[in-house]
Formats: sequence, C-alpha cells, structure tokens
Amino acid sequence: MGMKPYFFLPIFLLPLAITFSDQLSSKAIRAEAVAIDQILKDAHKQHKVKVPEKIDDALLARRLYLKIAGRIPTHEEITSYLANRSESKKAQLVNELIGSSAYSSQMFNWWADLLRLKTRMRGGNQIGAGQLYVHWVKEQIDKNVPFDQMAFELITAEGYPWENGAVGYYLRDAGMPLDNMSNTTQVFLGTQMVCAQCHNHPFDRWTQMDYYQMASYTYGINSSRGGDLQSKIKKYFEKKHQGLSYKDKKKKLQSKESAALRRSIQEMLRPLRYGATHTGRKLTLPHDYQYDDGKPKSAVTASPIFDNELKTTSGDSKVHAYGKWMIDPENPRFTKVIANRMWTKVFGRGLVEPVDDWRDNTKASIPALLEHLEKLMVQVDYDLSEFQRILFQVTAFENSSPSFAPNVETPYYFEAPLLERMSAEQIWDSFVSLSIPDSDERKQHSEAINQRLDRFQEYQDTMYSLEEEKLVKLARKGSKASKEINNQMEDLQKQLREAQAADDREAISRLRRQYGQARNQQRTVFAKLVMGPDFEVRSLYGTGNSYKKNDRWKGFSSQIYRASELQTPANPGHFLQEFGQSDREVADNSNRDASVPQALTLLNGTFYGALFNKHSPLMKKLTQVKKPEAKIDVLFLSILNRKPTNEEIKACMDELSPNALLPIPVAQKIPNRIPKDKRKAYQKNIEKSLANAQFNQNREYFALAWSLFNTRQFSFIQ
Amino acid sequence: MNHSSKLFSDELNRRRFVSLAAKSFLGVSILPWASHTHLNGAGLGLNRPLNHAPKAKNVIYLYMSGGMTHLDTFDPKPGTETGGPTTAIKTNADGIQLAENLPLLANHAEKIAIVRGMTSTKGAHQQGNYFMHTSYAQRATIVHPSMGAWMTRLDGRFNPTLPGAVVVGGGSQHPLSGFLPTSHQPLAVGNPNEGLKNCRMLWGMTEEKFESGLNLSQKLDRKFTEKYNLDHVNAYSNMYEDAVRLMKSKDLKAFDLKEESESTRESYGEDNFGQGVLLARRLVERQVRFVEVQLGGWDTHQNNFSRVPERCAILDQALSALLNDLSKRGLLEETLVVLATEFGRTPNINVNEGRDHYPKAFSCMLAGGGIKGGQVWGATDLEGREVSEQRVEIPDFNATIAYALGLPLDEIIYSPTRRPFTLTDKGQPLTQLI
Repeated sequence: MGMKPYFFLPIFLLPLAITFSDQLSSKAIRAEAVAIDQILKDAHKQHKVKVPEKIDDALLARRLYLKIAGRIPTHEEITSYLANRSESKKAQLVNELIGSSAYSSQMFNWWADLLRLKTRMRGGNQIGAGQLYVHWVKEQIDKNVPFDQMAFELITAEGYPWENGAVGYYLRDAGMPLDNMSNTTQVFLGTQMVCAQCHNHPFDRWTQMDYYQMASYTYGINSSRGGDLQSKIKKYFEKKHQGLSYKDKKKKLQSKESAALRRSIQEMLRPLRYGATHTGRKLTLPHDYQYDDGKPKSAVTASPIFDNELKTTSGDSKVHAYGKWMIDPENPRFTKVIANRMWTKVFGRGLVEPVDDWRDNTKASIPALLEHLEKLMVQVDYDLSEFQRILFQVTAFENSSPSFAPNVETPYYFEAPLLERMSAEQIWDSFVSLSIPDSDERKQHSEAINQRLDRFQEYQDTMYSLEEEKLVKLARKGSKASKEINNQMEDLQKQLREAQAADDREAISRLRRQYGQARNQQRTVFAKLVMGPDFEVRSLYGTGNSYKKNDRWKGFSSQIYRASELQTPANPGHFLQEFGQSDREVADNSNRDASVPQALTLLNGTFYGALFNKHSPLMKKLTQVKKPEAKIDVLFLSILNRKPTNEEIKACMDELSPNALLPIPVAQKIPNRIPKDKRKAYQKNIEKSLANAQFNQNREYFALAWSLFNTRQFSFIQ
Repeated sequence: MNHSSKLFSDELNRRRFVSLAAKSFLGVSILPWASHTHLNGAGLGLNRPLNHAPKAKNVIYLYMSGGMTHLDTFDPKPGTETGGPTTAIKTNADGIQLAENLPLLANHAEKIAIVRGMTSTKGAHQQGNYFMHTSYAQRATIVHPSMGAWMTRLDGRFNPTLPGAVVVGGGSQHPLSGFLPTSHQPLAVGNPNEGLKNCRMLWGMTEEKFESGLNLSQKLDRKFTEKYNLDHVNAYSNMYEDAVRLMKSKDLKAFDLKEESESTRESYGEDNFGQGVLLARRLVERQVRFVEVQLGGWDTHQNNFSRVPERCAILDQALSALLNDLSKRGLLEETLVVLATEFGRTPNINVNEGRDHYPKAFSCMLAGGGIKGGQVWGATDLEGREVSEQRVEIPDFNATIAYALGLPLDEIIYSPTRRPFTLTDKGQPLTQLI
C-alpha cells in the first residue's frame, strides 16, 4: 500500500491517528500530485512549452464536475463553489465528488465502453444475462474494487451469471472465443492482435502462431453451461432403453411423443444454459494454416506474448495462471496501459496515443511521466479512484486549454487538458440534471435485480437436486400441459395472419399481445412445474431494465434517467446514439464527431419540453427571481455554469422583447366583497393564475436558454 | 432540382466517364479525387474489362430481413417435393418464371435480372445480415461500413442539403457508417410516415426568433470561437449551417409523403414497407444516392406457405409500383434497384410446414441502373439444393452493384486502426449482367 506513516505512531495516539490519517492521506495525495507537477515542469522546460494561465473558478468547477460527476454542476453546486472562500476548495470538491453516486454513474459509462456492455447482449439474452453483467460491473464500481482484481475476475470468470456476474465477459463473445482473446489484449494490454488471427500481422510483430498460442489459454472456456445436466438425462435415457433392439430404439427416438418430450426438457433446462464453463477443449491450428512453423489442424501449445514469466503454482488452472500473468506488475504493458487510460480520462489525451495500439517502438510523449505513473498505479494498488484523486490535483489540470489540437502524430506535453466536446453521456446527463431534481439518485430498481438473482439461484438449486426420473416426469407433464398452449399459439398465429390480410389493425395488435402472453405462459408452465405454482417466472426471462415508481420524481417522464441507468447502449435514434455513444460492438467505440442530426436535436429537440416544464429545476430556479438581470444570471449559472459578463448581459437584454421586461404581477389583496367561505378557493385560484402568468412571462427566457444551449461553450469542456 | 447541383452532378459524371474511358483505352487510371484517399496496395483492377460507362447514379436497396425463401419467390420448383405447394407463373419475359406469389412483378420481368446462384457460408441472421451489408464477416473488433456509407465516401453526395444515404426500417444492428467518419452516416428513418426527426422549430418559435436566437449564440460565442479555431469546433458550425439549410430546404418535403396523391400511395401499399419504398423514390429524385428499405418477417421456420404469400404480397405491390413509377418517370436507367436477403431457406420442408436457414443457395435480384433486364443469371438444381450454374458469392454481388455505379473496387480505405479495406473485399462483379 502507499505511504502510511501513521503506523509508526504509538498506540495511545491511535484515536488522533484516525483523523490524522485522513489529513495525512490528503497530504500524501498532494505530495504525489506535486511529484507529477515536477516531471511536467521539467518536460515543459525541455521542450520549451509555454505554460498557459489558470482558468477561473467557474470553468474549473465545470471541468471537475464533468470529469468526475459526469455532468455539469447544478445552480446550487456552482453558486456554493464560487462563494466558497477556502483555499483548499478544489481538493475538497475532488474528494466530495470521487466515490459519489455521480462518480459511479460516470465510471460505469467508462467501463461500459471498455467492456462493450449491452443490456441485451449476444450470449444469454433469453434470460437477460446482459442486465446481470451490467449489475455486476456497477457493484464492483460501488465497492471500488481495484482494477487488477476486476481484470482477474473477468478473465477467470466461471459459473452462472447470477452466481458470478463476471461471466458476462465470455457471454459477450459467445461463440467467438478467438475474438474474445483479441478483445482481452486490446482492453488490458493495449495491444491489437486481431489481424494475426488469420495471417501474420502486417504492421506488428505478431504471428498467427503467437495469436493461437495466446488464445489457447482461454479457448477452453465455453459460453454455455448445464452440460452436466444434459448428460445426466442422456445417461438416464440410455439406461432406460438398454435392451431394446436398434430398430425399436430408433422408433422411440423418432416418435412425435419423444420429440415433444425432448423439447420439453430443453425448455426446462433453458435458463441453465448460459454461463461460462472451463473445459479442457484444445485449440488446433486452422485447416488453412500456411506457415512453416506448424501443420494445419495440429494442436497448439499455450504461450504468452510477453516475456514476463507465467507462473503456475500447484492447483492453479491454466486460466488462473494466465489471469495472474496478465495483471502481474512485471507484465510490460498491463500497468502502463491502465495508467495511460486514466491519464487520458483526465487530460483528454494519452501520454501514448492511441491508447490501445501499443507497439515495440511506442514512446510516450513524456517517458519519465509514464514511468512514474506506472509505479504510482502499483503503489495505490490499482485503486482507480485514488489514482484519479491524485491526477485531478496536478496543477496542469487547472490551466487553460491550448488553442491548437495536436493530431495523433504530434507529441503533446500536457501544459493543460485538451479542449474536448462533452461525451454523449455528459451532454445527456447535463440535460437530465436540469430537467429533474436529484438526478444522481434516480436509478434502476436494484431490488428487482437482486430478486432476479435469488430466483435464478433457487431455480438452479432445484434443477440440480432433482432425480432424473423426477425431471423426466415433470418434462412429460410439461409437454402435455404446454400442448394446449402450443395449440393456442398456433391458432393465434392463424388468426393473426387473417387479420393482417384484412388489415384489421385493432385485431393485429390485440392478437400480438395475446400471442406474447401465450408465449410467456408456455415458459411459465415449465418454470412452475419445477418450482411450484407461486414462483415468479418473469424474473427468469425478463430482459429489460427494472424501474420502480418513486414519489420523488412523480410527474416526471420515465425516460429521464442518467445514461448509466438507461438501456445500454441506447437505441439508434436516441439522443445518446445521435451524439456518439458507443454502440458497444467494438471496445471504445464512442465518438464526439459532429453530425446534422445533432444540430437538429439541439435546435428543435423534444427534450426542451422537459427542460421548460414548470417543475424542472431550471424553471424553478428561473421563476424564483424577478428582475431580468437576475434571470439572465440564473440561466448563465445553470447552463454555462458561470456568471455573465456585463457585455453578455447587455446582449441578452437586447434580445429580450419588451414584454419580458414588464414587471411580473404580484398577488393582490382579496377584495372584501368575497364571502368568507369562498375566500380559500379564491386565494387558490389567484395563486394558480399567478403561477401561470409568471411562467408565461418566463417564456421569453426560454429563447435565451435556447441560445445558450446552442453555443459551442455549452457543449465543449473548457 | 437545384440548378447548381445538377451541374455539379453532371460535372462529376463527366469526369468519371473520362477517367474510366482513359482506363480502358490507355490502360492508365486517372482518378481525379484520389489525392485525398489512400491508393496503394492491391492494384487497380486493370485486368477488369471496363467497357461500360456506368449508368446507375443511385441505389434503392430493398432488404428482405430474416432470410427470404428462394423456392417460393424467385426460383420456384413446381411439381417437386421441395417446391411444396408453390406453383410457378409465366412472366412477360420469355423463359422466365416466378413463383405464383409475385404476380404483379411478373409484368415487369423484362426489367429485372434474377441472380439464382447466390451462395454463402453464413447461416445465422446477425452474421448473414452483416455480411450482405458490408461484404465482410462480422468481427468483434471492428464495424465495417455499409454500402451507402461507402458510396458517399468514395463518390460524394450529389445533393448538398440532404443526407447521402438513408436507411428506412433498419434495426439497431445496421452497421451504418461503420469505421467511416460520421459525415457518411446514413440517416436512419424508423417510420416513413413520420418524416425526419427534429426538423420543425420548437412550438412557439418563429423564424425571426430562431434567427436572432442563433445570432445571439454566435455573439456570445465570439471569444470562444476566436480562441478555439479548431476543426472539431468548426465542424459544429458547419453542421449547424447544414441543419438550418435542411430545415429550410424544399427538399425536406421529400420526407413528406402527404405530397403524393392518394392513388400513388395506395399503389405502393399502405404498409410501412410500401410507403418506405415510395419515400425512397422521392429521395432518389432529389439526389439522395442510396436508400435502403427493409422488410422483415421472412424467417419462416413455421407456416412458410401461409406467411410467405403474405410477405410477398407486400413486396410484390411495392416493388412493382416502384419499377412502374421509375420507368414512367424515366428514372429507371439511373436508379439501380436491388433486392437482397441474408440467405435462402431449406428445400426440405420441416415438421412445422416451414423452411429453415439455407445459405448454400438463394436468390437476389437487380433491376434498372443499366442492368440488362429480362434475364436470369445462374441456376440451382432440380430441387433447389445446390447452385448448378454460376455461383455468386455475396462480395461478388455487392461488387456488381458497385460496378454498375462506377465505384472504384480496388480503392483501399484505412480504418482508424490502420486496417485496410476495400468496398467489397475481393468481390468480382458480374459484368455480364450489364
């Protein structure tokens, strides 16, 4: 672990040491940041880099919120930061934000891009395995599990998705074990081997043999499970049919009854088919292997691509040894790559670019810094939040972004973070924070997910404990019971076709719904046979996200959640996808490129309805103040997160129509002629129409807000 | 049509003609727009006979998703066990028969070329769909661009205010622009009846307010844009200009199907596919170069013989209306109509009266764009199991489309990860179809 000087204090000072340790901890962090400052200073001197001036408080706060909380600060947050006179307020803010709910939300987006997380993913979609994988990743983030540990758990994952969510790593690439390996090297070793799957790599030193030898470690990992159950049942039938003549056996197997029974059994086993199983399956060279160092279809000996030793202690499976080799601090790339990725996250560009294409001749723009960061990552035990805490304290982070944009070839010496557009998630989350209160707290229904995990475990336990005889009996029962439903479904299909031919829209949607219900019933039959009539079948087959109504956000649209809480990735056409959210087909596939649909969205998008709704935090703040200058102030602080200059206030005032500058109506005294029993109602009516009038008066300010949203300053992070 | 854009497109055509003519007469290639692209590596296809001036300028790509049965549509086998109850009908082209499910199309057979020898090794939906759209096998490590994006990348847009490519009714798996920059992103339209999203000003906004509001944005941004005169910042200003132009463009009306007469709309069929095809025609008229319209529901593992006729009814109506419409408007020569699917279906009929996936042999269709109509290319055996004549791999089919458009097949584009790709991998075009 890092420096822990308090260990040297005598025991009787321990109570003091607990608080002392916090302070020292922040001192230690400060010291680490200073060390990095020094390296940068040397580099700036060496390369004669002109160090820009610092940005002002407001821009710094905006930067910190966007990078750590994943969204712009709220009006309260920015006003309180600006009013804060403390010298250490920046460090305080960093400490406050790291580890917060907002931090987790934004780290999830980072992990999702890296691991290509999908709510509806390739393997195990029937049982919503994607949701379980997503849940597992979120749990690790909340627990602040160190990066190396997480990598190890992903690579060595085994079991069912509810026992061990990490198996999502293999389910994600179900059926593509060779591609899975090149994803591993890209993500954790920053090394692109994918070309070498089919031939020696044209640009890099990897041969096809290298590829296969590396892939051998994990080739045995099957993205399916339940094989043991299947063979149990197979053996049972073989025993049963012992003694039957070949002809009779064949007759039995090919009968309709037998086919129906087989289908039944498969249906019962379905929830238990998905997961990761470590088998001894051996990898062989492809049939068209063209090089001299091996014969096509011959077995491959596992061998890692770097020289650090792959140590196998007794009891270690091949996969575990491989995992340990991957995360070993001696591994020439593992630590450097994650350190570089974190640096990129904070400064907008890596010391090494691209971040996932390291070669033998790769050089960091500041080699001494990369070396230092590598040591630092080991020192903090791969704790990413601690590492980031240090990075955000680096002085260069407070400097004004340069007005040039270095391309991939030019080295950059980090005199400041680079100007970047907000990511899709940052923009969306910023809009969300302006549209609903407490946006960091509005989350998916975790209880429902936990219930799902429990139900799966129950199902697994039950199925595995059943005797084969009993299992087959249940299957037979299920077959009979579902026969009716099958007939029902066929009949509905027929009716549906008739309705489609007659173009009877109402019938079509009704029949579709009924068909879906029948399908669910079919699944229910089997699950309930095994688990009993009260079993919550839906938990086994639900694929979407679970949301629960919460009074805190009563009346707000159910679409307005932070990006990490929505279906991931979002559907094409969704705001997030239009602004470049990764489609998660490839690692790190997000982009911040401009497009016409983006401009159209910012100009005419439907989310303005939520923003300009009278209950949104933006509108509430706006209606709290009366004078035009105060309202302009509110808009600038809420949207651009700074106070307007006098020039800007004038420009905005010029824009507002004379109407907006009229005084806002106030409540009058209730006239005496109103009878006593009608006063309360009268008062209520007055208040209502006043609120409407105030709201209508504020409509001029909507246009102002619209202008602000359509500035470059809004969508770019200075 | 915009006068300047017509000149622009004529100019491009002229240059293209000159360069291709030079290729064939002098054996030298002159590709005037090649300077900004990476042209090295695998040669320039000088062995290919380039004795045609490409007529096709636009593509309407009709994608039948789910794996359209070939035996009940374009390659009927009446009287055989595998043909099932589907009978064949004569068409207005000598010697060509279609399945009874496509009666309207039979009247346009003289315009179409049926490719019956399609073959593939990808029998799963995702992989087959991807392969057909990109000519590359799906990988977990990169996304290849679909043809619409390739087209605007290699040959540019003709209409400056409308997108270069549009996909109607495609699912979330559509590769769209893949690794190409987002400026080549095909526009995805979900429901053709709804038109383009976010094209109308906010309620209560007036044109005056819109303009003055944007002016205010620019004014407030002045210091910022002066300091940060960077590509990725200026790209936004460009997009805003494009967006405003699009909002004001009368070409936007292309997305408004209400402009068409009731009878026209009816002739295409009042379903999303039919209306999508109508939208495609409107877009192509306004120089959108590639429009894909998808029709699903072809995955007939059950009840093939009741579901396919229903699908065919939709397809038949829309496709026939399109061919009719295009030829009446004189657009058929310059518009290549493609009908494709990811694989065919099994000749053996399964226990559910259905057909399962069958990539070994299937059919696709081409029409217009300089394609010789009234022909059949390739054939399958008596039962429709194997390709007996003229095997066509998917990249070859896509290469044929590119060839008809005059797109460079050998031009290498590098992905951001420096991997080289060409439009159709190593596909060889079927030049005989043209």
